[in-house]
Amino acid sequence: MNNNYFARFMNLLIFIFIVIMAFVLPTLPILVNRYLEYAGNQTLSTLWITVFLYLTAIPFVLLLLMAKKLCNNVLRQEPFSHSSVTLLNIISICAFADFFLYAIGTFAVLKNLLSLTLMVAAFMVGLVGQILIQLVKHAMELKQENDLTI
Amino acid sequence: MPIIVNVDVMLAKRKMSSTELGEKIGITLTNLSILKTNKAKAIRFSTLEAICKALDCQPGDILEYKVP
Repeated sequence: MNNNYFARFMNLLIFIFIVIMAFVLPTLPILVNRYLEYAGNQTLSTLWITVFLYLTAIPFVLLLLMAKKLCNNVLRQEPFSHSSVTLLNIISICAFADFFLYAIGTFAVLKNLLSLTLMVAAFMVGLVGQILIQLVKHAMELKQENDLTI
Repeated sequence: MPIIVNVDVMLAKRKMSSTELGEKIGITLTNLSILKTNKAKAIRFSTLEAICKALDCQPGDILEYKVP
């Protein structure tokens, strides 16, 4: 039962994130302008930063949607299914895509070492996703064996 | 799998229905069907004991090894 509460909480959290993204994405150019005015950094290009952030948002939004589906799988009491493996695979690919985008963006666009943190975080999500795929596959085998033990 | 479960043969010998056996040993018809169609990967000693008790037979009467 505790797991269910946790999955519901995560589902809600992801939903809130999606709503925030829905508000942030259309206003991103304005936000970037405001940030650059506040930061007072003239060497950065507003256009490139906006394009870069929109590019990184694509895998991120996809990742959020897949994470929501994964939570729904847990809520439907079927966490060890082929669909979970597919979802984790997409999550992992999205995280690696974000990792590469940030790897390029850190040096080409942002020129800021702080974004290295995001790069490492995306890489870790991808890595953990791949490990989880192996775990779910093993768990699926065990579950099938358990289900077929009379 | 070379191990064959002959529950249906014993059921016919004892003139007992699957539903009746399921009720006696406390397993669902779905699980009994998995057992009868040889899809089961393992059988618990407790289930085997219950089946033997219900059908008044030995494990050897239910399980059979066939050389593949």
